[in-house]
Amino acid sequence: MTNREIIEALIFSSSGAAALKDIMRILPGMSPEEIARCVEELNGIYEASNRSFRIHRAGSGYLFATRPEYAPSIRQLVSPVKLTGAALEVLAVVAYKGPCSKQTIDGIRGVDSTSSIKQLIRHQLIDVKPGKPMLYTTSERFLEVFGLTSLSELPDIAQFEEAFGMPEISAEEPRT
Amino acid sequence: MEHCAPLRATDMDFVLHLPMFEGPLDLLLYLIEKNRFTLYDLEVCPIIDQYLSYIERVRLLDISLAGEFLDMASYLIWLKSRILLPEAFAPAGEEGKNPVEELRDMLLAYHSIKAASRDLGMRPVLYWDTFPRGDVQEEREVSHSTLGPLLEAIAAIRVRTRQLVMNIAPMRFSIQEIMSRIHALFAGRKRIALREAAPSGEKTELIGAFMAALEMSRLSIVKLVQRGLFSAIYLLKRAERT
Repeated sequence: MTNREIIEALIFSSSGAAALKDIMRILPGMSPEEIARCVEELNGIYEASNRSFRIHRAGSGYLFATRPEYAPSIRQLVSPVKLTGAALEVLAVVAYKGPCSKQTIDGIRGVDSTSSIKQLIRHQLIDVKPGKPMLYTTSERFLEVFGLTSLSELPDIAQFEEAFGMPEISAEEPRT
Repeated sequence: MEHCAPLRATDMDFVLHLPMFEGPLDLLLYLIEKNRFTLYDLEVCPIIDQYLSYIERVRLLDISLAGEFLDMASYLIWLKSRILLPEAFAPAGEEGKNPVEELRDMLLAYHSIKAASRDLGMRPVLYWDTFPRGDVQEEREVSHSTLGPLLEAIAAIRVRTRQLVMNIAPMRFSIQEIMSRIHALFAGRKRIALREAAPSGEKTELIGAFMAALEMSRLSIVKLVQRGLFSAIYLLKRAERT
């Protein structure tokens, strides 16, 4: 029994992602880098034996998930819901501008976002911070679902601003 | 200053695709891209014209339009008049923020978010592209729940309880019941007044008694007699057939 197999067992037995800090608590000698290396080795084994799953980095931990090519088959079994364009827009506002109020979200989108916010809350992709006004933030689950370890992994919003068909936005034209 | 050029895009070809626009800003961005403008060489007037003509056509087609599209339309009409008659709006020296710049800022902010949302949408997503073991979503414990689902649950309970207090007026008088009551009233008598069959005088009971009387008349059990308009209705017992 090696640390690598213990890590595999911990991730396998977790409901949702196995938190990195839990793995480190159970295997006190191991650093995050060593754990990542073990995960890499495990994924190598799965790849070599043509398994349908791999271990993914998700939020602040790891989880087992199927390879994308099996998605069409699995979708027939679990019929998942795909987020609407409006919901993705709201999610983007909350991810980039959050914590933010509904007013901010509506202001940026130019439309009422009530139903999309409800949809995202139902899917636990955004959390509500109590107060007046209530503020919305992305949840830990958002990171898990979108395969991020933190919001800072998202591309810089300025990159999208520049993409508006105008390569020569330049020093003399200050952007707001 | 802006000059108002003739429309560059034909209007009809996008009228039928209303649902593709998430909102007025989305429609404006579409028009800007269709006219090959960027935010920095944007001529606002033709875009305003095309927006308004789009809205007009959609209204002619009688498609219901979200209020935001109309709010934006009225804002754009104001903006255009301001562009065409700048002196009527901004007295010299009194400079607020240029409304065209404001619109540009709004469009830029929305455009960035839209691009970011597209980027998010292209990422491989758990529960769509990849799937974790089992349905961990349902295994989450209550203690993991955050305020959001709680508020949702409260809202759901509110909806449920609202349904519970819905008042449905019960039908208290059955025609069968009143018919047997009338039979009882005929004991030793040949004629009874319809009102006797509805002692409470309540409208629903009276209607029930009237229906019962009609039914008994149809079955040739009684004969209905009324001397004049609005006068009392009497039930006469017919002789039983043999």
